[in-house]
Amino acid sequence: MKKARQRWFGSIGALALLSFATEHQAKAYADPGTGAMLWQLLAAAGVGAMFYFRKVTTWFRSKKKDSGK
Amino acid sequence: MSSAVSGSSAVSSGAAIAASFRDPAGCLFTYQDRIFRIVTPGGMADLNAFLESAAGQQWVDSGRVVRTTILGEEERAELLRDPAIHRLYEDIGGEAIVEHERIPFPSFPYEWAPEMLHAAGMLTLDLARDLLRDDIGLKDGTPYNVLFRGPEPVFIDVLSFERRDAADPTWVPYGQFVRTFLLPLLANLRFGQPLDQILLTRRDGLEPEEVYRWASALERIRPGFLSLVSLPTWLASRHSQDDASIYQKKRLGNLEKARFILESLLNSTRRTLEKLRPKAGKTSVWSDYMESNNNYTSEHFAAKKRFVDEALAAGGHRNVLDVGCNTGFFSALAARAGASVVAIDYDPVVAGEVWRQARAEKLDILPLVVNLTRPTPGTGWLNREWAGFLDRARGRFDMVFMLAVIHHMLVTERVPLRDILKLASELTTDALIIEFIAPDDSMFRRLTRGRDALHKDLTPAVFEESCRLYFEIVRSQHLENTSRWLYLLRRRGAE
Repeated sequence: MKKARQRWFGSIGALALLSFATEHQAKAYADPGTGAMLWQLLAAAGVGAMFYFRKVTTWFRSKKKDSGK
Repeated sequence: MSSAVSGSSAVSSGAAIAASFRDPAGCLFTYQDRIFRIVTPGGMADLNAFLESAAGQQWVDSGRVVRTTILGEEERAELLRDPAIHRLYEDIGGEAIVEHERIPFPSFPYEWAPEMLHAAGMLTLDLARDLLRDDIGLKDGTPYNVLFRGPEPVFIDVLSFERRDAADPTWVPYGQFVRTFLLPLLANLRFGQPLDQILLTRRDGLEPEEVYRWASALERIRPGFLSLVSLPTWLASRHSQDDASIYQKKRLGNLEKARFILESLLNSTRRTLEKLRPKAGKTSVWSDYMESNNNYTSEHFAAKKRFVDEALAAGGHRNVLDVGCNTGFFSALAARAGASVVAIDYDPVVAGEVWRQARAEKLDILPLVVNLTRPTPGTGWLNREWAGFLDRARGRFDMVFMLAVIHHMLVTERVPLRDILKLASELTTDALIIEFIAPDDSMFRRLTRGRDALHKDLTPAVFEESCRLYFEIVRSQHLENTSRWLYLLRRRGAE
């Protein structure tokens, strides 16, 4: 059970990380924290998916508007 | 983050200068009662980008970001003639020196009511969101970037601004914002933890793991708590501490997507902060003092108000300290008479109410959660990064109110009368309005709880004799049929 949960968290984390290209260290000096940074990356992966969903729905809506003219 | 040496150290020419040290882009120091900042070339490029941006100009013009002037060649050279400043400038690799407007009375997060921490958080997030339009970001997200001008928060750390990489969808200070704003407010709201106890000993706030331990199993899965505390705790516990990849700068190929993600993060953080807004109308032991929990009749209270009004009208005092301000009735009188008021009370509930009223009525009152018998100490590195309350307060006021408060200091805290008056004479440069309450007063007796013998010798005559050690008595008034006297005192040696 514990292993399965670990795998779940691992794969979600990897997914989140894979959606970004990594480069150099940020120059901000504030401690980013660990849990907060992981949560931010996880949320970013979800919001990133929402971005494409919104794009698609916006495209459909504009199409519908055009055909109604 | 600005270590607020402002208001702390008096610096003599050539002596070592106490300056902030955490930010590699520059350092802040106080010199001859003025606030300066040495800035490195990198820091200057970021600062110029902020000052030239549309959002930056709006925020500075509205006074929500501290006004800042870049010193010209001559003025900078003049300052650099001081060997201590010159050494600091060389050590940090300075390129420029800027001067900031002086915020009248610096205060720190552990002295704020929860409402004030909330307002400082809102200011920080609104600033971060507005600057995003001009591709400028905040490097840190801590309440130490904010001071209060009266009841209004002002962002003071101009080196927090940086030119952003538009492809970066993350906000690195998010974790710090959670630790220093959201979790302390959550702990205050859910567990009743006073902010001073949380923030006085923790510069960087609360870790999610700490709050997680305080919560019940049910609490841990509640919405809001889950994303703020539980998920970060679970994620961190399963993450290898040696894996630094999550801290690498992130870049997306799609700039629109990067902006969308970052804006969503700032908006959702703002919604979370909104949910943690302290509620109005909370009660505490002292919150109903003015309405019912006192022994004044309306005539007595009117006489007391008249006494204070007359003193304010005659004096033209500009800076007032109201000790034990309670609901801020007399602070408001002083503010309406044109004074800038610092109102202190150890009860965060009444300080919060004073802040609400001052903000709603645009009164120049800065309420702080401070107990004068246990004033805020100097904190941070060497206890000198953020000055103690008394170091900031001594000689800053030309009028001090001690109304219906000294019996608490005498009885509850057991501070000798002469010491109270001596401290008052250090706080005010001119006037003191003080209310003497004799030991047979019902409120006094409520505090003594049977220890009447301790104060049996305290009479108006003894009180006046003690006052004369440090003050001249300008006038006094006995509130008829009570055991209370009002005094207007003038500090000895005041012009």
